[in-house]
Amino acid sequence: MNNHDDNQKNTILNDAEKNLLMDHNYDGIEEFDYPLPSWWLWTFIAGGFFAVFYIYLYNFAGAPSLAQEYQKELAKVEAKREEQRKLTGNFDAAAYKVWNERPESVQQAALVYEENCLSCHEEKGKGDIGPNLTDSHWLNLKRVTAGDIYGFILVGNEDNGMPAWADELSKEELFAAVKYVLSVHNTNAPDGKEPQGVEIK
Amino acid sequence: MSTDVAYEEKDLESFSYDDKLTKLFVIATVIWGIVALSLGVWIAFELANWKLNLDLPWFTFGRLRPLHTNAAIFAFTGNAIFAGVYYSTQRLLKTRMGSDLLGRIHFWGWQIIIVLAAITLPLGISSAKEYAELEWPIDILVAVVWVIFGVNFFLTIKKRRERHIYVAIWFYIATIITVAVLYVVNNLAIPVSLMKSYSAFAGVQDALVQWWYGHNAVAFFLTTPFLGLMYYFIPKAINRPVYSYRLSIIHFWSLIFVYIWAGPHHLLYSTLPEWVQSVGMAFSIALWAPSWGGMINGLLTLRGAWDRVRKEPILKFLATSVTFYGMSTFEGPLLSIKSVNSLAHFTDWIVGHVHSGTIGWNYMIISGMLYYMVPKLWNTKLYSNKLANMQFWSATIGLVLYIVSMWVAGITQGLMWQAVDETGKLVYPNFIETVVKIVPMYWVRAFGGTLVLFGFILLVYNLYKTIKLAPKQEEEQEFKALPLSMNPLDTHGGKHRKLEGIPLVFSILAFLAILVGTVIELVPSLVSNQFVVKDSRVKPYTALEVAGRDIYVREGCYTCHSQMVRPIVSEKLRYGRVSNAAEYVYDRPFQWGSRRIGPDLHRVGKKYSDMWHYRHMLDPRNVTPGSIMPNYPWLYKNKVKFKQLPKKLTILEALGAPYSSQEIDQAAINAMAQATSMMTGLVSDGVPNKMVDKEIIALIAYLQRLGVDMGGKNEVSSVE
Ligand code: HEC
Ligand code: HEC
Repeated sequence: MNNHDDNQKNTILNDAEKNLLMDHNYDGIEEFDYPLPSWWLWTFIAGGFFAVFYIYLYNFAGAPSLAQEYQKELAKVEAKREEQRKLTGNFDAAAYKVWNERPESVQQAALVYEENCLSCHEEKGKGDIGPNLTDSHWLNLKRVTAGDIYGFILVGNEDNGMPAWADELSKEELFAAVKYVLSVHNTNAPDGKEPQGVEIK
Repeated sequence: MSTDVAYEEKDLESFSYDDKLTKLFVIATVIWGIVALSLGVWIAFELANWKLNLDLPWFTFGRLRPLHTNAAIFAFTGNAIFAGVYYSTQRLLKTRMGSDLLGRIHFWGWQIIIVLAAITLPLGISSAKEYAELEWPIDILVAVVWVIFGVNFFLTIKKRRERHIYVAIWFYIATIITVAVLYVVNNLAIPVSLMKSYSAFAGVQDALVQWWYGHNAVAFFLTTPFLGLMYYFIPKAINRPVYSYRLSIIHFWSLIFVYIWAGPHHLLYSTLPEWVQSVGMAFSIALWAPSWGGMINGLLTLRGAWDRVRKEPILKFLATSVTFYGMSTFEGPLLSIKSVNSLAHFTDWIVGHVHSGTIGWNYMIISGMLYYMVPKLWNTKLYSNKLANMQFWSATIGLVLYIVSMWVAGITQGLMWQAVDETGKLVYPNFIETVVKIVPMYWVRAFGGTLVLFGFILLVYNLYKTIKLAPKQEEEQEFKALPLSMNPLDTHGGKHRKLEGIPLVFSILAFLAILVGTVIELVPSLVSNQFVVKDSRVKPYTALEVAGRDIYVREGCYTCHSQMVRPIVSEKLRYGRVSNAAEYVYDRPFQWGSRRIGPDLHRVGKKYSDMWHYRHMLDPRNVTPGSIMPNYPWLYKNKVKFKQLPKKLTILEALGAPYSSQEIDQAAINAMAQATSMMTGLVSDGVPNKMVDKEIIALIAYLQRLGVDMGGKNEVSSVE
């Protein structure tokens, strides 16, 4: 087999093509000089114009910056969250009572705990990174009532590693967390973490 | 041209080609091809099943992913480029390469670099900039060997017997010049020791330089040389003239001019100055047509011979590669559009995009090229067309599975991250939910990758048989051609034709073409601090945090974690305050990352207790069931190298971090003191006191420092 062939015969389809053939020959490779496909040429030109226009728009013509767009979006979401905070901000004892009596509340409590709290408070609240919730000792509570627990979970204790949940959980989810904490309270898990804080009878 | 010139037999010079060198590169290509693809398949399975990290440092995803990318780019495609360039250049210029010796030095030098990479990257010796992870001594070697390749190439041009240089050679020239510039600038660093250095740039500036490099590694390592190869191998294999000479000219110059600008599309929504982002995005859109110019010229050259494309494996591979080139160069501009980018960035969509380029375009064209070259080089016929066809189908099906699974995974995860309900809360506040959801896609991807690898094994076997059955080689073949002096410049062919006859001027123009974008985009942000406003609240890392950060760099955490909270509401809700350029001024190298396999870490400081991290790093599933992050047990055994700290701080100080001489001299003592104070809390949770000097403590110190200097994570946004 010849490795270097200027005389290699290229396939030419028809006479029209023959006219487009240039007298270039590189190792047997020839070249046509077909005109640029017009759709391609237009895309090419449009791309260039777009680039110039876009750069002008965002740097000289005052199109909104990323920060401005972000602030606008943020304001919208913040407004919704503000609404929501009004709903969750205070413990609504009556609503809790109604919710608590619903049969599915037990399941919901377990689910919310598993998804949000388990990683720190471990199985059934026996304690790990977060304190044992099954004993009668508390670091952050003065009274063990649904309202007090609710209030604490809302704000957490971020310096000590307990997140604030006000912005993460909905009102019902907060109820569920409270229910779960109350349900494990005083179950004194046998392999639980040693008690921390003051005992509350 | 020679036909117009009257010549006599005695004028002809005889010469031969150095095909032995091409053969060496061919063999290296297939060997490293297997290695690079196997690594890819392995790490794909690691993501599907974290246990495959094997609890061994050198096996973890964070260290093997850089090895995979470097092996795929520099070892596999690198050797393929050299094989193809050496083969075609000699034939297109009618001469032997400039120097057989330089060719050998190039070959062995390049293989040594690869072996060094294969040793150092798994050991965690890494500068943690994507596709540029090699440490400084190896970087120097890369630069030297590349220059040797360049010198040899230009010597070949000098002794050519063909007056005008063909379009393939144009692309080789652009490649050689640009890669040299990119590689040297991006790897500028100050050494701390033989195996550790700090980037000469910090934070935003480092990011800008890195993605100017990273994007153009794709452009000038994975694209331009392969376009050159396409212009040689397609017309040779199909025996048809190239479709349009004028299209070659326009798309060549526009491609190299425009490509160099597009890097900032990797940094949209980051803290990079916005004007640079807008320029990068605009040029990315403008890049579409120049890229497609190459595709059109390739595909239309095949026109009129489609029946052969259906039958001959070589043509099948070449046609498919050009098609995928077209697809990925359409997808690229699409992904640069801001709104698409905000969804797709940091997801697997980008990973799929990369592989439709690297597998669809590079792997396919390399396969076609090898099937073409090997029988010619060994003077024989291909062992089995059937096996080649099998490879084609295996690789194509594998690739389609890869791309589709990554689209699904990327879009699914992107939408889950951004979903905010009507109460203004994240619908999926637990990051892990968005991970678990896409793990099935990781299995599909790994399976697709396996098919691609399997195809390549078939290729290797087929080529091995071909070579084995080849007749014993005779002497090198002799060829005859007129000397350059009897090959006059074509004076009626227009200005560009003339330029093709003066390669030196051609090369200088190509250099200028890539310099324009480089200078305009890079220089203002590098020389002026106007774009990186300092903030006096941001202080340099403490000695212990520096040690921790170097561990983060060593382990390649950036392969799974970003450190960039973008100005997008869902990110603010998920991670906290939007990132600010001033927060990164002491980050050498920057660690913004490009993929969030795990959550962003820029606001992780003080989010959890030290104990949480202590548990998490030992086995992430301790605290996050379903996590796919590897275990890091060795961090609990290795001691921090306290002694190195003064040296490290000295260099960081020289680079601009305001450490006092006391802080530098006492670095080791201060670090120990900080570790000791961290132990008080940990000991009360049951951690033994002897852990005080272990790497995990330094790493936690660093993690707890991330993103806290300008106020807590919920402080009012500082993007005004
Ligand atoms: C990131 C780990 C973490 C998570 C997740 C977490 N907690 Fe906690 N939690 C803690 C820590 C740490 C404390 C102790 C704070 C302190 O020392 O004052 C704590 C304290 C508490 C307390 C008060 C205990 C006491 O002794 O004062 C309650 C009640 C509680 N958590 C409930 C929850 C609930 C309900 C969830 C899920 C919605 C949850 N926690 C999720 C870490 C966590
Ligand atoms: C294979 C990808 C991968 C690698 C490599 C990896 N991570 Fe992770 N990381 C994850 C995933 C997935 C999560 C989310 C699940 C979890 O919490 O474990 C995560 C979570 C985390 C978190 C918790 C973040 C949060 O806000 O909840 C931290 C901290 C972290 N990783 C640190 C590291 C460090 C440090 C390294 C390097 C030593 C590292 N990771 C390497 C995948 C990875």
